[in-house]
Amino acid sequence: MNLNLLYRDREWGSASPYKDWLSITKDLGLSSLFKAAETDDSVRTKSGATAAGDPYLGQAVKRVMAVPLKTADEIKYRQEILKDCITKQGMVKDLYRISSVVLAEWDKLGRKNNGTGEVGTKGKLITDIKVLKILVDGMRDVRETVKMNAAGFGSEGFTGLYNRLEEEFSDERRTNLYIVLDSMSFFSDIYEKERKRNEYLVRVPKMRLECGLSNGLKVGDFKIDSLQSKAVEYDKQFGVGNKVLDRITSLSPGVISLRNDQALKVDAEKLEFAVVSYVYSYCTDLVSDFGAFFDQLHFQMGFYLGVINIRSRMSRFGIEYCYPEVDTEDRLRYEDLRELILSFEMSGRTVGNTGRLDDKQLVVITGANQGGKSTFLRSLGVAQIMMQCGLMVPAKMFRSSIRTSIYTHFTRREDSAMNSGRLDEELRRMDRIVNGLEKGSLVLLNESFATTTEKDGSAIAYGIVKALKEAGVKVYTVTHLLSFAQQIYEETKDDEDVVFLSAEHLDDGQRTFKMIPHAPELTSFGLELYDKVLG
Amino acid sequence: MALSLLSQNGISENGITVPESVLTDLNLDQVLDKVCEGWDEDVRTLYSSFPACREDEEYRRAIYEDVRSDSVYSAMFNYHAGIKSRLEYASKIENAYELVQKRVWFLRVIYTYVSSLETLDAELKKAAPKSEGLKAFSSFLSKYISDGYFKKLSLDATSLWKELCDFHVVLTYDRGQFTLKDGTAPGAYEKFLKELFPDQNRAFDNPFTDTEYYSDLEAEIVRLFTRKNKEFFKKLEAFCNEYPEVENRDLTVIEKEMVYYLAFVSFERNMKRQGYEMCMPSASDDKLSAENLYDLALAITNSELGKKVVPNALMLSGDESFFVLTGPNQGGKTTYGRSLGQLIWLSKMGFSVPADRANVPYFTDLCTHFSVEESADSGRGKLMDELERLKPIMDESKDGAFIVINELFTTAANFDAIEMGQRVLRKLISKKCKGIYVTHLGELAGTGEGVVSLIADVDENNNQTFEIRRSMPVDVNTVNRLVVKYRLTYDQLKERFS
Repeated sequence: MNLNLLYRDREWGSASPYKDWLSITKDLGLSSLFKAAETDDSVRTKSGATAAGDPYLGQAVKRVMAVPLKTADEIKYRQEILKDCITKQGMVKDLYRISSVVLAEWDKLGRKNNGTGEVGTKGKLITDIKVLKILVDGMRDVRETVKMNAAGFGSEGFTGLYNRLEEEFSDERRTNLYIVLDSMSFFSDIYEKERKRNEYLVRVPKMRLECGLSNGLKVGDFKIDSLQSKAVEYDKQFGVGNKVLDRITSLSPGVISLRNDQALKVDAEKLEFAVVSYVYSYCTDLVSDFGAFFDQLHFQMGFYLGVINIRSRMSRFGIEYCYPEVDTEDRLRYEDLRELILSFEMSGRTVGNTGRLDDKQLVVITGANQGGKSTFLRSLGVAQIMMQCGLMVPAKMFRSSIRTSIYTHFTRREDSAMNSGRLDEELRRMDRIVNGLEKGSLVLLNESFATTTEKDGSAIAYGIVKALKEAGVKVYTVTHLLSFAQQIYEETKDDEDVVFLSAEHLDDGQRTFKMIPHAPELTSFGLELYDKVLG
Repeated sequence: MALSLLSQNGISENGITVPESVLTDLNLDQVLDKVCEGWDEDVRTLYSSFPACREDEEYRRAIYEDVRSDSVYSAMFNYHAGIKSRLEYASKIENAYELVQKRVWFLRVIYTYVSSLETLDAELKKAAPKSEGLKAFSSFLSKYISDGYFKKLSLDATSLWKELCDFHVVLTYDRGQFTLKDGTAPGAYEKFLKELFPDQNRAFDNPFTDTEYYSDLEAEIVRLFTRKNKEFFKKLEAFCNEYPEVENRDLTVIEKEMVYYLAFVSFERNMKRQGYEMCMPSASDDKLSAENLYDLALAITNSELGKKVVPNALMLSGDESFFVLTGPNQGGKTTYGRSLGQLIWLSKMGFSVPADRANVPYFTDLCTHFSVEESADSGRGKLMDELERLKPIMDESKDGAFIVINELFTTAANFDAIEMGQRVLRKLISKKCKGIYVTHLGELAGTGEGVVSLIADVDENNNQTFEIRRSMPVDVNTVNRLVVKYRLTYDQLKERFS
């Protein structure tokens, strides 16, 4: 039984993540986003602090985000589900809770070790049956929860789930599964204690088997004709309880009585175990199927719950969001696009950028220090990754095309403790990136090759950027390498697919933190900053 | 004349013994471990000698091609499974506790024997093998089972067996007692389960099979059962008295020889499932060639690790006799040498080879000489040892053989090593041998006529590519700057993206 709330045609798992996801999370600072996913800001403790977060939600968001969606259809599919989740937050919380409880109860019975006790032992089989009961009960609850909310579903995902639950876990099937569980209940105590006239009842088996004798006259070819568990009073397990009557029946022809015969009792127990093992063996696929379902449910609901938390925080800080439109051409348009991570840190007090970068293969961003260049670059990266995760984007409008892969190459000032030289490390990272590149990839370069001299760095950057562009790779670069920027500018200023942006710089020297098209200048206004700080 | 699937004149034991060192040098011991896995232990000995002559190589190749087909393979595979069951049942006769139980097992042995032979005959006829060997076997078999004695045996055994199989009892278990009745039950619960869990077939794990003896419960059941069916047990006794043990010597030899092919075909199929294709080589005399040839032993190891192997081409034609392969350490040189040796071995045995296409001419024998690593001896000791191991290869009996040499004379002075190496090469070429000489001495590539120089390739960054190509040895010790090292110059990038 598939949940399919992340993908239309498959469950979570085994999909290919961004090749260098670790760098992306580090360079774009995504860990704050995952942190935000953990906590529901709207739930407050008595003292007014936010309730403790659930790290699992952050993990789920992180893992899903690491695997980009590759088509507009996939993105649309997930966006619609996300919208349903936001309207039906109660249901998402319920489903997450049900799956948590099922998995926790199952954990107590040794889920991680594939059950308690050795395979093939009585103890293992007893817990296996208990697990089956937990899963069937859980499925019943999931179905009821989804059914209760079915009226308002707008997404194909939830509608499909509802239909599958109705079909694959129909009333009839549910009833039959409980019949199977009940027939095995003499073996594994799955019910609350039953009593009759102040006496506890025990469950005893009643079965009819056919067997052949062709295997050297040993019994074989078993076929089960009937199997039941009967609740009887304790002293009536072996017979009707009347000593005389029991003795007479045990002497009839064709009867093998276990009364007073320990060896026969042992054989009978072996047969009971074999019969229950056999019946249970039919359920093993179901256990792994339902088990996987609850794993998926826990994970996928964890993801949506995390996104709901991110969205609440955006609302709290007044950050507007939209569901991005996927462009089939190579257009990139944005209105009031904000850098989400910084916006969270600054409680929403950030500046948005508006612009259009249609059909641009190369975007070179230069200009003043502290002018918001890196922030802008990151905002494009974060929005692109959120879009390709099916999420909302912190902008009034965002429209972009799908990138087959995304790489970031940011100069990391904190990486001071390196064994090999820093340039060596930068180049090694670049080499790894190049290995994964293909036509349609996006590479974000932030002050790359600033670890060597301006001259050498420019030469390296020039060669790489030119080759990448010619290979059909999209490059957005923030750079202080002015010779590099100049050289590229001279060569491509008339090209339609290259644009040069600069941090806006008003006549009075004030910075607006907005990016505007601007030819690269020979100064990076470092002097102004110097003057401002030290002057 | 006796019938054999290994030799066309019916004598299977006169092949050319292959020294164990050849198998270990070429890592064929690892391949054989995998091939023999799950088969009878004595199979391995069949793989330790080459066919006696060229005709036998072709005889086996034709049979192998037949066995590769699904129909012949499954006929032989099923028959082999039948033999195994038969042996198992026969062992139960020994162990059975009661006479009546021994008789029931005896009946089963005979029934399995006749029915598996009849099935093999029918399936082989249907499969219509093309090889001389299997055609002869098929007609031998048909004749054998149409014999009057065999036919009567078959009829008697089958009818008694069917009768025994038809007996069923119904056990009811309720409140501490079993009730036994003859006959069958509808199996309602079983049906319910199968409807609830469609497409699942589960085996009932019989709790009483851990011993040949009856459990207490079974003893009770048999007691009640034999009392009710006296007639059947009288007939069974008569059957056992009428037929003594049955065995055919020709069949036991052939049963063993079948495994020679079966085990290897199963192995080939298994490799195919892992993504490693093998092909039947042709055998024309003009050239030794292969496309996408790989090291089979490495493929086995790598498939367990989920890694791929790098395949290479092979071409030795006209007057070319010997490859001299040089290149960096760990560049795949030895692997390539091994894969050539494996190619020759497999082809001589009549098997398929690890390549997309291959042609392997006839070689009189296959010899290997691998340097013994980490020998405690140094200088003269090790050199002596190498020369002594080289001696039999230089013998007349090895004229026309294929030789794989891996690093000779590593402990000798360079000048001496080059001189000795060249002499070895010239001598082998004059003996009409072909082969490959893997060495770190580039000078050997210039030995002269008949020698083809190969190198294990490296890229700009001195990294191994594991590709082997024809080229004179090159000195690759140029110093690269950082950018070049990471292949990030404009030109390098253009090439990487192309």
